[in-house]
Order: sequence, then structure tokens, then C-alpha cells
Amino acid sequence: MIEIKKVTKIYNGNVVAIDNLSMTIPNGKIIGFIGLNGAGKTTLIKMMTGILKADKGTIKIDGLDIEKEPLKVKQNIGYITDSPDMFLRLTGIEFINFIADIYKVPLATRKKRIKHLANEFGLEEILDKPMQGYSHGMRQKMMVVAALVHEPSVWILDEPMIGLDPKSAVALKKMMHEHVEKGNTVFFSTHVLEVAEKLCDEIAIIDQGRIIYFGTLDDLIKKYKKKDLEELFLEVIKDGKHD
Amino acid sequence: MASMTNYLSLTKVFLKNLKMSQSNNKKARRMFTFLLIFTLIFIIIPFLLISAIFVYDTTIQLMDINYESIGLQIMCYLVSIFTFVFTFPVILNEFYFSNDIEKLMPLPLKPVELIFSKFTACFIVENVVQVLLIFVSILSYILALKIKISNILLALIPILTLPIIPMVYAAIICLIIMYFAKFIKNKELIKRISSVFVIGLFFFFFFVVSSLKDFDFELYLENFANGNHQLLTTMNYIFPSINLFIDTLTNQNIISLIVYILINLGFIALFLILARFIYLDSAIGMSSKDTSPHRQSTKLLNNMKEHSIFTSYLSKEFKVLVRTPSFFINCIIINIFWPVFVYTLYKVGPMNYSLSQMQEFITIGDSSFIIKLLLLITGISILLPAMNSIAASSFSREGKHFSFIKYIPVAYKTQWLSKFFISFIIAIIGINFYATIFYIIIGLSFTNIIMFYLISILAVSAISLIGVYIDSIQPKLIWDDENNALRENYNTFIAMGLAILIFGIICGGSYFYLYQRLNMTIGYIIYVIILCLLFINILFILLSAANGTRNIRDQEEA
Repeated sequence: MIEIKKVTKIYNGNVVAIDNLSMTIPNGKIIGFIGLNGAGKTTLIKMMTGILKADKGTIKIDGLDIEKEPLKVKQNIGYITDSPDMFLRLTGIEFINFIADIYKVPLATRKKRIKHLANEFGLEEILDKPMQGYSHGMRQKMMVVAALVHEPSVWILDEPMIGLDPKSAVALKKMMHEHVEKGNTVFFSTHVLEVAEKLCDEIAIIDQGRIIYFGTLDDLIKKYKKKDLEELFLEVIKDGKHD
Repeated sequence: MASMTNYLSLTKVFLKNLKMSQSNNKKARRMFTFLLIFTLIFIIIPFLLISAIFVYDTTIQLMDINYESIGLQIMCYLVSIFTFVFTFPVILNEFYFSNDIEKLMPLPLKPVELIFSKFTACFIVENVVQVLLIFVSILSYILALKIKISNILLALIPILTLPIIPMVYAAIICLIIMYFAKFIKNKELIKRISSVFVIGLFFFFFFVVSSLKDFDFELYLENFANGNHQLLTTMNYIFPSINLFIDTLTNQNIISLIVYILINLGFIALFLILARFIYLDSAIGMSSKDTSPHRQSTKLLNNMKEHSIFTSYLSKEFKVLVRTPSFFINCIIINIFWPVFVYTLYKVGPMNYSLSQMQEFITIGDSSFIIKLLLLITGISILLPAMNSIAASSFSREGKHFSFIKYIPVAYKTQWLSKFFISFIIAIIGINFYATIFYIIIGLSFTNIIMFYLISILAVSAISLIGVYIDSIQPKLIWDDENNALRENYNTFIAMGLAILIFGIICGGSYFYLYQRLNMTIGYIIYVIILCLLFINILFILLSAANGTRNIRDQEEA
């Protein structure tokens, strides 16, 4: 579970990125996080993962405060960043093994887990190659494997589908469902409304640093009586601005 | 017109990319500015003073035989060679390996606009020191000749543009090399080959400098007076604008100035014509794909080993440093080849002992030789970890992925220590591997060897602590390619300034004050050096403990 209470983040003393935001993300559900560019999605995700510090408010993951017990919290998170171009001088296997060392994954478990994930995402053939030579999609898949190798309870994924081929996207979606079925949490940001529609149990819409809708997509469609997702989304944003 | 607008806009963007961004934190910004000014005083000013004195003395000495401009000419040649050697890797990197190329290629830009704006940005960023050097040399020349200071006005254009020709040479060689290397489609392989070329270039530079010892200046002048101008003529052929520049300055000759400008424009035109035909061809189509046969994943998994967090982090740092060509050239190579630098300085310096003489000094316990040896190893241990920039770029090297440090479940302290240790280990091994061989050859006593090791460890540790601390205040996280993470990073410059200051105080103070003035024995001097280095270590351990991890925690990415 992720509990966000009255969180505010201000950049350079005057740009309010997150404005007194509160939200509780329950276990056992896939939550899609939607918003326009610059709405505050990545800032909130970065605060949830400990990259940025909230100016006000608290964020708790599985009951632990990220400010007070950062290492314990980070150990429980699987985070996929929006940019997969890191450690490109390492080979795929060196990178994953480094991540497994950092998250203290026992050797036998990591071997099993890497074998499974590499197979799911079709990475076996390139594990020994430097990631410099990987395509964007391959790098993204490697980030997914790295984020999941320690079997975290909470998945926080920033645009995880970008660059994934259809087979890998299907595999990741399946894994997301299996993960929440075990009572865990999946929170992911996306720009693609169709992905949110098909995959999420609930969606959270953010605009100007505030959550303007948090609930099921069906309820939203009923409320606005619109079936076209893009139109619906823009209507919600418009209403949010008037509130 | 459109071309000019494109050129100016691109140059502005490239310059912005090369510049270091300012921290949001006011305290960090103030601290950083203070350190930068402090470093400027300790690195640049002494360097400028030495050049000014050289030109002044040479001009005065040679005035009577009408060769007064030779000092200034030599300085201009040295600056030109220096520019060529040190801007070559930057140009190669900017033209072919910077990450923006793939993004710029699809834009409707002419190759000439692209390459000339890159050239201009490199010229502005890389030549500040060179222009300052030429400027102070000219001031000395004017003062020595007692000519009007207003002469400088007419020579203003040449002062600012003297590094153009050596940079054009570097750019043309890059274009030609890369044109022929285009058949090798693997970008990484080309980077490695070019790294070897750059290393070769540095060796050549030091070979030239070390051979100056055998250069008899008086004999040269005598030959020169007898009409043998071979060396000067050769240099004039290579850098044809320098004579014109001096003529403009001394005689206020406008024709010389016009010819100077025309020659420079001719060089630029030649470079741009060549670039127009061969740049695009060699810049596009390079890939980083590894074509080596792959190993089976089952085998890879079976060979996999588990490590502690610290060991794994250290190993990651080492692999990144060794495998990234820019980091390898700037951070690793110097630890392997530093004896070449020391040998060069030794050759051009006043000491010239043979090996048997050194062995004899050790056998008879010659305190003067042992103190010089002690200060040499202390100096190297202070300067090398600053010169290799590993510590002072610890966090800057993370670049736009700085957030990784923050979201992994590893304490900042552990990451800090790993960054410190990688700098410490590489420098300490690099220094003491050669030093030990040398100690054994000359027969240094066991006690002295242990003491020298201790001093080396404390010195490397102190400078590594300083480097990591400085980089934590305001790391350079926005860079387009790895080379810029180091070369355009003021933190490495500041760390170098502090290291030179420490070197001056400890080595200079020990020799001139403790040894020569107070006649202290080597034993006491060793204790004093150990105490000084211990003090610096403790000071920076305390500073790092108080602010270091906080600096990292408060750093808000690129």
C-alpha cells in the first residue's frame, strides 16, 4: 500500500509541482497514473521512490515512511525510470547481477529469477553484450528485469510500456496482473489511455500537481457520458481546472 | 542568411551544453564560486607569471643581437602545439561521438553549419587559457621592448585568434582519420582506435618536451645568426601566421594584419570545404553493435557470483571507468603512464643523476637525495589523484542518471565510500607499483620504503577525499558526452588547484623551510609531512561526515 498525505513539492521556490496532494493506493490493484506533460506525474513518482524530497507531507510505502526509513522502503520498491540508457558500458548480465547484489538477492534465487525474466522478455541472446549496443526497446526490457529481479512488493513504473515490443508488453501486463493477485501494488504512469483502460483497476488523473480524479474508468465514463477516452480525459482536466 | 542564423543558434546551444550549470542551493553556489576563484589564483596565475617572465627575459637578452621577438615566437609555437595536442581529443569527440549528432542529423542543417558551430564552441571553451597566455606574453614583450602599449590594439584580432590554425589542423586530421575509419562501422572500436591515437599524440608531446634538454639554445642562436633558420623556418611553415602576428604587434603593420586574417580565413575555408565533402559520410551510420559471438545464457548464469554491496558498487565504478573511452583516457591512462611525465620533467629539470649515482647516494645515506626522493613521491601522491579526476568527477560521471544513487537501497555513505575507494585504489596502485620497482633498484632501506608508502597512502587519501567532497557540492550532471563530464567540469579544476596548493605548502615548505632553513633531519620531516596529511584527512573526513551525504541527498538531479 502507498499512502501519500498532504504532499507538496515546489521547485526553485516558486514553481508548485505537487500541491498538497493526498492519495492512498491500495494493495491488490493496478493503478494507472495519467496526466498531461508537466502535470506532476514524474515528480510524484520520484518522491515516492526517494529521488526527490517532499517539501511538505509524508509518503508511506507498506507502512514505512520514505523519509524516516529510506533504505527499508527502497528495498520493497521495484522502480522503472523513464529513461533506460544507464550503465551502457556494462553487459546485460553484469548490470542485472549488480542490481541483484545491491538488493541482496541470494545467488540461487537470482539465477532462477533472471532465467525466467530473460526468457519472458527474449533477452537470453544478448545478456553477454554491452548494453551500449542494445536498441531502446532492449534497454527498456533490461530495466524491467532489473526492477523486478528482487521481487519487490510495490512496483512503481514510469511509462513502462514505451519501447516494448508487443510480446514483451503482453508479458509485462501479465506479470502486473499476477503481482496484484498476490496482494501487492502496481502503480504506473502512462500517456496511452487505451493501456490504462485495458490494464488498470483504477486510474488517478493528475493536473497542476493535484489529483482531480481517482477511481474506476467505468465510473468516469458513466459520469461524463463519453466513450472516447481522449475526449473524456480532456473533459476531466477542464473540469479539474474549474474546481 | 539562414545559414548564419543556424550557425549562431547552434553555436549558442553547443556552448550552453559545454557550460556547467549552477546549483539551486545558495550555500553550495557561494562555496563553489569561492573555490573556483581560489583555484584560478593558484593554478592560472603562477602559470601565466612563468610565461611572462620567460618572454620578458628572452626579449631583453636577445635585444642586442636583434632577435628580440624569438621569446614571444617560441611562446606562440608552444601555445600552438599545446592547443593542437589538447584540443584534438575534444574535437574528435565533439564532431563524431557526442550524443547530439544523431539528433541533429535529421534536421535540415548543412554539414558545414553543424561542424563549424561545433568548432566555434570548442574554440571558445578550450582556448581561454591559451588566449590569456598569449596576452601576458605580449604584455611582457611590450614592456621589455618599451614599445607603446597601444600597439596591442592592432594585434587584438591575432591575440584572440592565434589558436585557430592549430585547431584547424586537429579538425582536418580528425576528418581524414574518420573518413578512412568509416569502413569500421563499430563506433566503440573506432573510439578505442582513436583513444590509442590520442595517447600516441600525448607521448609525442612529451617526447618533444623531453628532447628540449638536448637543445642547446646558445648554439641555436649562433647558428641562427649565421643564417641557419631551419627550426624557425619549419615552425613558420607549420604555423604561418605567427610571424605576421608579431610583425603586426611590433611594427603596427596593417598589411601583415590583413595577410594574417586572410591566412586564417584560408585555413578555415580549407577545413570547411573538406568537411562539406567528407563529414556527413563518416559521421552517420556508426553503430555500437557488438558483433562478437554470444555466450549461452545458461553458462553466464552458472558463472554468476554474489558480492557484497560495496564490492559490487566498486566493481561497477571500475568497469565504467575502464570501458568508457573518455574516462579511460582522462582518468586511467595517467595512472599507468605517469612515469613518462616524471621522466620528461626529470630530463628538462636541473637534476640529472645516473642510476649508479642514485644507488651510491642511497648507500652513503645522502640526505639531500633522500629528501628529494621523499618529496618527489609525496608530490606525485598529491598531484596524481587530482590529475586523474576520478574523485572530483565521482558524482558528475553519473550525469542524467544521478537519480540511480537515490532510489537504490544503498546508504549514501556506502556509495560515497565506494567513490572514494575507487579513486584511492587506482591512484595508490598506479603510483606505488612503479615506485616500489624504483625503490628496489636504487636499494632504498626497508624503513624508508614503509614511511614512503605511509605518506603516499595519506596523500592519495587526502586528495581523493577532497575530490569527492568538492564534486558533491555541485556535480556537473548535464553533459552530452562523457568527455564533457570531465573536461568542462570545474570541480576537477578546483580539486587540481587545491592539490597544487597542498603540494606547494607541504613539498615547498618541507624543502625550503624545514630542510634548508631549519636543517631538520629526514626523520623529523617525514613526521611533519605525516602530521600535515593526517590533518587534511581528518578535516575532510569531518567535512564529508557533516555535509557530504547531505549534499548528495539534497542534490536534485540533472
